[in-house]
Amino acid sequence: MTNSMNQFKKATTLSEFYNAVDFNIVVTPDHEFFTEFSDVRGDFEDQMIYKSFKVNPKTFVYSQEPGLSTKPNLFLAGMRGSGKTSELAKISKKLHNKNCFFCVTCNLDEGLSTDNMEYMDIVIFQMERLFEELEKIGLNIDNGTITSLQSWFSERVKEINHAIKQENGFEMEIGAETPSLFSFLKIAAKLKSNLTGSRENADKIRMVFRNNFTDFARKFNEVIEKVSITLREIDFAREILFIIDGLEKTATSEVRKKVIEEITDRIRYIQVNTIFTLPIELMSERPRLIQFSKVVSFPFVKIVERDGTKVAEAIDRFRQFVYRRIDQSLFESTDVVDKAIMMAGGSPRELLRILQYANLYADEDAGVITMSNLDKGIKKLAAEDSQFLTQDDLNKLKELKEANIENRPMPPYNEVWQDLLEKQIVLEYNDGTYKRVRPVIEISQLYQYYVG
Amino acid sequence: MLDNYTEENQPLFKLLRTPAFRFVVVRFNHYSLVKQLQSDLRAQFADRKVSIINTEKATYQEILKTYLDQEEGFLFLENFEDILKRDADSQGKVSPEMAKNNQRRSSIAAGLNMRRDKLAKYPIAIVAFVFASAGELYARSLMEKMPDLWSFRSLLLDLKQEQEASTAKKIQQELQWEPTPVSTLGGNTREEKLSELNRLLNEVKATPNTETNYLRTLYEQIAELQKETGQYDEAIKTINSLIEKTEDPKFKFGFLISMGDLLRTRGFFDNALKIFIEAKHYCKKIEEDYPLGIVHQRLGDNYVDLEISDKALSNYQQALSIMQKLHQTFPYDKIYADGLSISLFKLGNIYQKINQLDTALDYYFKGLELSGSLYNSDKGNISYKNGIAISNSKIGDIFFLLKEFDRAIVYYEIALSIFKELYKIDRSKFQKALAINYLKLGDTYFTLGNRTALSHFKTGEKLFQELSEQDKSNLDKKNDLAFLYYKLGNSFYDKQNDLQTAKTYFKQAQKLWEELVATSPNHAEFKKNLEQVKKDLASLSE
Repeated sequence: MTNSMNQFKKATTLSEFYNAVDFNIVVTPDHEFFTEFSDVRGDFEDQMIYKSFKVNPKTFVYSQEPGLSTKPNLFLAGMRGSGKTSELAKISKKLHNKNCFFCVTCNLDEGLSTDNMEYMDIVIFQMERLFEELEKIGLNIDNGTITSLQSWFSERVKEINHAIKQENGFEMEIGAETPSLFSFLKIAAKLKSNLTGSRENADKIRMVFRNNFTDFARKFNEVIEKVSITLREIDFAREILFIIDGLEKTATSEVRKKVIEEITDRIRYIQVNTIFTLPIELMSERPRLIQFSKVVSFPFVKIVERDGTKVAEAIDRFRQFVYRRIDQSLFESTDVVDKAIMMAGGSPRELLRILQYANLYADEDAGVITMSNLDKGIKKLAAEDSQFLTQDDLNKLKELKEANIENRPMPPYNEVWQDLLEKQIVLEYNDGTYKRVRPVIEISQLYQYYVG
Repeated sequence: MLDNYTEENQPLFKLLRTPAFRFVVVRFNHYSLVKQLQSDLRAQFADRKVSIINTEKATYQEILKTYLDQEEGFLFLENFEDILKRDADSQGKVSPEMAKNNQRRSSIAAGLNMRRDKLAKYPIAIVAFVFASAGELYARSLMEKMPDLWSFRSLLLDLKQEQEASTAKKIQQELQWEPTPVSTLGGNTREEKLSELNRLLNEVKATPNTETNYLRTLYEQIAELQKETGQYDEAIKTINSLIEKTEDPKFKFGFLISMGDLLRTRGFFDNALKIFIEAKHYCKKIEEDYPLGIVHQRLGDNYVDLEISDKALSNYQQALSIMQKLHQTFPYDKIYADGLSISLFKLGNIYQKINQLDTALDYYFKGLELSGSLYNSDKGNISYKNGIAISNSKIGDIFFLLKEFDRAIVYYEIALSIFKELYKIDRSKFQKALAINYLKLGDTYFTLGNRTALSHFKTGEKLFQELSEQDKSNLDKKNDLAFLYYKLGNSFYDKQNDLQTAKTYFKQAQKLWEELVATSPNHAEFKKNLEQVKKDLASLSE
């Protein structure tokens, strides 16, 4: 457990409050803070994911004859803060067993450069991560397979160095070593470190792999299948599942869009079970993605129905979410927590942020967060987040409010809606058929004045 | 030979009677016109001194020194259009070498322009020869680059020779003359590939039949390596077993396409047709449009093999319509854009084959436009850059066939400069394409009687020989070298009527094709090529 995870414990005093509401730390299913939201996400049910990968959602047993089935790709599309990463951690934990998958998680923001990333980087990273995990369990792969793979990679490194040499750059140094899991891991790590290093070298690496992608995919697929067979032989797992998270953390929407474009162009050549997280603004790419993959929406938790009825079960789940992190005694009353929950609109991350802001106004001597602290925090958050709203945005929000009041279908999709979703001005529920303005925005002065 | 030579030259000869400073620009579309004019001027004014400078290779100082030393007579500046050019790569970047050459050109233009009054003091006629590939607006460019000297111009001539049909032999149209992709599997040489093949075959033996996915990844590579090492029948058997083992319609479709391709390579065109038709049935199961587009492309290719042009055309058109629809729906999907690009080329090829050259040109231009926009969207992608080079080369081919050699040269030159850049990036992939383009350009210059042709031939030959030397056992590379000799034989025979040189080249080609047929007796193309070169040699001996 990392240091931050060590400090990540239930707050019993206001001084511990800040750490307990830190939303940058991923909560794994075995952590005391973990709260299961799958059954209160409206149309989303986690069994959709299990079934997509032919896994029995009750026993978590892979139900296909290994080595025979096709390998699906699934994109889990949700807004930032909706809990995708925690959900994936839960899925990984459940599926990582001898009757199911050998799960390999690739956190792109930790392994790759977030301001300069391409799909090619991801596939190389996947290989590196797979080999790291195999090394941890001490798995030996057939030497012929590794030798062939290492020889193919070494040839590509020569090509890369040739291209680098043309422009007097620093070549990659890779010593000739007897092929083994470890020696290949060193090559993969070297490639990856160059991908995150100078842009010139990264471009050369990508160019060589992109231009030999069909053969790269063949080698990749061979290794995946060979490893799967070996895992079955030692009764460790039936197949491999990659979980690729963090695409939304890339620096710009252009980088994200480009990666998704490349994925759709090339994923048809890569045969391995994979779950990607899909940033919400790229949901518009769905028609392309569904040609080769499954896209599942991962909505916020719906705490209020369209007609205004409160969803008691969901609200109660959020209470558990808060009280697992913060002792109930740190709130003036349960009403404070309930109000924070309603203002968060079903987003766990938003709820933590609201509580953080409330804590900013709390009196350390009093030792509790009052309703007044919460109101001040919300007001500040509202002012901050609404200041960039344009007149066009406000017009759209008015249109949305009226549609919800009159129970009309949602206004047709366009780029403005997409932008509002991306900025989290609007929150989405079910499979996108129900949207509402983020509650914090609703109480802002600007919204009150122009929309009412 | 029909031309405007006599009519156009009358005023020139009249003008030159009196020795004085003259600046004459002669635009021409065939190099024989340059030689003829130079020869006629020497004959008419036999007492005058003559100097000839190749502007492409000269510096301003050399030109000026020659001029001043000469004192009177004629100074012929050949390839004068060179001073209008500016070297840069396809992204507009200028290397130090390019910058040096550009500077040399600028100095000539600026220097001659600046020293106009000095030049005008000598009774010398500067005759600047500008090849037609410089374009219709060459005069405007000259005027902009050397306005003062331009104002002193005496005469502009536009010599045109009606181009005779090139007696292109049938084999030139039929032979495969585009680079064939070679995988990186196994390594670079045949021995390395055979060793990898052996490993994969042993791996298959050691794998239980139930491990279908793994066996598929092995068989895919085995088939590719068997194909690359000339073991076509074995590759067909491998793919056949893959088809039998695979249930998934998408994979089955892919293997059927590979099988059809192999059968075409073996020359079993009827069997290939049956396989492609079977693949078409699988498209219904897959319920995707893209595979249907692919199968129509393959059917078109197969009908080309079978010489049923109308069916080929109709299949290519169906493929185009599918790919266009996909590209419109998913404009950023590069696989569909590639599919559309291939469809456009295929249609260009078939229209070229049935001699509807204008329509072919139209498709190639559309292909060029698409390749250009794809490249602009992803400048690091060499396959798009390659697409631009191939489009330019194809357009050059059509202008060559239309006998618009000046325009052919423009497009071949663009293709050549892009292939040079690609070659720098990846020698192994683009050496052949670069060599081919040198030969195409050489052939065009040869047709126009320009001695530049020989240096292009030499460079092309050197590149091909290097390729063959790198891996002497590689069948494709040997076939390429044989084809090069055949092509050179044709050029010397058709354009120079040099039977001896032609025969030497044909014999070299024959020797290599005999070796290839001995190694791989089932390869349809090798056999066809050998028969053709034997026929050609026999006809030269008659």
